[in-house]
Amino acid sequence: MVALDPSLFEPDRETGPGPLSHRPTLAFWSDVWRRFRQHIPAMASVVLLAAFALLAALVPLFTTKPWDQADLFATYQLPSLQHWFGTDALGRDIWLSVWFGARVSLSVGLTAALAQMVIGVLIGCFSGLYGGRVDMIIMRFVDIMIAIPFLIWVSLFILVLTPGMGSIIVALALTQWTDIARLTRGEVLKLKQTEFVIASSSLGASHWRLISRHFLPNILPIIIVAVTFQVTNAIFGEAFLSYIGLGIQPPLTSWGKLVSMGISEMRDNPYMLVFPSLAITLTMLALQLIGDGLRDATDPKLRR
Amino acid sequence: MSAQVELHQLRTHFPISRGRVVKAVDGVDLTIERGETFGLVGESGCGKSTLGRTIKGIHKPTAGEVIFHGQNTARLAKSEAHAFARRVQMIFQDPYASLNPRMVVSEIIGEGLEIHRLGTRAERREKVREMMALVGLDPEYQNRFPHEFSGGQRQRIAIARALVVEPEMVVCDEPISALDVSIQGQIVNLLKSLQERIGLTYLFVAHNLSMVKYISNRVGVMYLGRLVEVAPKEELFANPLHPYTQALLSSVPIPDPRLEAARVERTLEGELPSPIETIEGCAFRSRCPFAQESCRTMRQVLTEAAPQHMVMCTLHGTPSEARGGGSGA
Amino acid sequence: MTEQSGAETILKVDHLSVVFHTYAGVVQAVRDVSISLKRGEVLAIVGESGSGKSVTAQAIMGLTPIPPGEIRSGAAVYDDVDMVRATADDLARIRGAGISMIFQDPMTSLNPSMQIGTQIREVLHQHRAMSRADSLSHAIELLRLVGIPEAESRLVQYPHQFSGGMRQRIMIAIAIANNPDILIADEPTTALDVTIQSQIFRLIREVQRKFGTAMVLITHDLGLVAGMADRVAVMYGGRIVEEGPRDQIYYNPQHPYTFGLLRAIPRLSDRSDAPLRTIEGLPPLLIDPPEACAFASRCPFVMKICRQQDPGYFTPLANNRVACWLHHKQAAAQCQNFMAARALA
Repeated sequence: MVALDPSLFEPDRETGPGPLSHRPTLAFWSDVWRRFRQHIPAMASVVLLAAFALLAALVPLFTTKPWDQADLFATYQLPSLQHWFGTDALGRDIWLSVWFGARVSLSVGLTAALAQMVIGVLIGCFSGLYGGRVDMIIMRFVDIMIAIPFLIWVSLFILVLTPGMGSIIVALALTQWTDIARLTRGEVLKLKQTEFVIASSSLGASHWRLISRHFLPNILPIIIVAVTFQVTNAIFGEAFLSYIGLGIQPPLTSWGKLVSMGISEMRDNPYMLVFPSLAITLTMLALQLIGDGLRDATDPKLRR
Repeated sequence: MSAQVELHQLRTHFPISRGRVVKAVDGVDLTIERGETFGLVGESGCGKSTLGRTIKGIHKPTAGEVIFHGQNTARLAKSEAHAFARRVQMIFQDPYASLNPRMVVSEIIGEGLEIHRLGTRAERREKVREMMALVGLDPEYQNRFPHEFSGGQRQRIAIARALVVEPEMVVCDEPISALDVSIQGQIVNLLKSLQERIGLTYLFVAHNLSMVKYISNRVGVMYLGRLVEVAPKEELFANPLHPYTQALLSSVPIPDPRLEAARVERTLEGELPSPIETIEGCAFRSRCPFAQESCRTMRQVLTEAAPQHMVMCTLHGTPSEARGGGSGA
Repeated sequence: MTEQSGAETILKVDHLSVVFHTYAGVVQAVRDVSISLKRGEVLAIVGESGSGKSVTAQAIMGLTPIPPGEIRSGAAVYDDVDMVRATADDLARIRGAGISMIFQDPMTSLNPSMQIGTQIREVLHQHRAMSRADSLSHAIELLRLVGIPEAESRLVQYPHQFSGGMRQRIMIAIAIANNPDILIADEPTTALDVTIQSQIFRLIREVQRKFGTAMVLITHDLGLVAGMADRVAVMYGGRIVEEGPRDQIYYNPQHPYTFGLLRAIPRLSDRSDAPLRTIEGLPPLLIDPPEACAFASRCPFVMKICRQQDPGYFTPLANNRVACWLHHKQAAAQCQNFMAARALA
């Protein structure tokens, strides 16, 4: 055996305790983003929605005329270079209508869903945290809300509040929070059993602290996934309401309104139905895919 | 008075479906002195964890009392209860579940200070750093998340969290079971040195008998919700009196081939009875090789069989109710 | 213990390396591990979490999840089949018959929705041509053998109707049903209470002796090993750092980690004021493991060369190999320090 340098066999003085076991510092959300990026349908959907949002924001900004300006010389035009989506019964450009309508549909969808999130999370947290009788009463209330058909609820609200964008948002917000509430309550019940929550509450933590510091950060990923689906439902909800006439009123328009008009013209002028329906369908599909992608990206069991 | 905690006929029962009740803790009398480390051993289902949690206040006693420093913990006013939440702290078994994965270390450790409004913001920050150094963690890592640390380090975080509020007593509920052997010793040594430095009372609940022997002053053995033997540790391990304790101690494999080959085990037949059943007399008699008639009517009190050595067993003087025509003990 | 006069080698693990691909990098879980097992012999693989012992066992059974796992190199040969690269057919033929495994948690390895009798008989039918009547009586016999009372009536019960100790017995019954050549037990008693642990431990020992089954016992419990093993392999940082006959490992450890581990365990026989000697520091990260000795950062006898070069294996004693520079002839001085410290303990 080759003799090695004798100095190598001297004791090495710097025996330190060594570094932290650095599992690599991956903050939770960057890890989520990394995983989300790999979900191709979800990423494609993000691009699509971003495009829609951009168009909804910019197209109305750069037009020289309002969408509902009638042009009775150009009614029922098929899609052409002049009118990309064609025109309707009053000669209004459908391309413009779609993007003006997008503003309404998307903002109603988003706002209603966010409001549902706030209401649902708060109710779910209280119900889960207090448990016992409080929980039982709230859950029975939720059951009742679910049992009454959406349409009846919403119609009641709209009749009382008079139709319009604001009342749609209010109606949707006040009636469709139940899924989120149930989800939140389930998660809170699980969290209540975890040792870190027991540790904090036995330290004397107030209910508010438990909710804000311990429950919310840990349920956020799940809630966000659920909210994407809520947006889908809200957009559809608004579309449906507008379709049956309880929705938004002129001078506003929405995809639902456009679909409604399209259906009445379906026999003779089917092209009018195509674009608004595509818009709704693609948006809802995109949201679903994003929701799926988020769910996969935040699931702790997948990949670690 | 030097007693830190006194338990009088403590019972913690959990109702489950159909009117049945799990009697996790079923009539425990115990006094833990200030500054001592009381080791509590027993197998799963014996109630040792529940006992610790009842003392801490996580479970409410179903019957009996927990007297902490002269005060009955079930009868505290709201503000006193809040203060009590601080005076007794707990370290949990699972270092992966006992820390909020979405909070950074400094927040986790400092939470107690915030809840009890101790010190100013700057003082709290300083205290957290101090505590981290004290438990052997580099304060530089205070903005990291729990998942970035190893199991042993997380337990150190849990210890820091427990001690930062300056409690009088710490209930350690299997604090080392989930850790590697070479790390277990580090944590136990840390707990010991902290106790000497700060002056704490420990209730050390564990199933690793050798570790319990190392860290405790006195040791108690629980079986099916009852405390069946209590003695200073040397005495208990050298001279176990209760048949269950004897069986328990003889079942521990010895990490030495010659001694292990020579180890004589007292085997226990049968299975652990369910904690839902009500058992008259001695809970252990279904598996005890020495069971007699009088065991069926044994009274559940600890009797002093040797100086400071308490046992609940008819063989060692625990009386049983005399039934008509029954044999006396 | 068991006699192996000229016993043949039935399992040969040769320079096995297993890695896992994670987002954080490549985790080298098992690094160049070679070990062999003779017929009827009990080999204990001892180590803490992250040492690679469980991954090694899984690889031998062909259970490594690929991906994210990858067999970088090496082989594990049983009966002329390389288990880490075996086809599904070969694995189905061998598992449950030639090689069986007992896991730590019986609840997850037993099918909760199948009667235990069916689970036992299934494994019998998979590997032998047997009539239903025969498998029934065989199953009853097996349950009796592992100490389950009222075996006949309990055949139709489900896992959740048994206690943890009982479930472990059932798992053992399934594992020995076809009289395997090799039994791999991965932390078989860790999840059990002390008194039940010792029951199961005795059962395993009895079964091993009775059937002359070779065994690979993976555990961190040195008490268990003292009672069962013929040979012990100590793993640290994905490598085997020492291997030798049981008595030699316990009474004459050649590696500072082995020594530290033995010393860190408190014993019931210890004097009460004896301090607990621990190993300072933390186990190594396997994502970018040092090319030199993995134990260097925690070793009280570390030398400069330990941090620079991998020691390979030395054989200071017959039948023993140890991966430590202390046994290089030029390290005599520091080795003396190590031996002296050992004598004091």
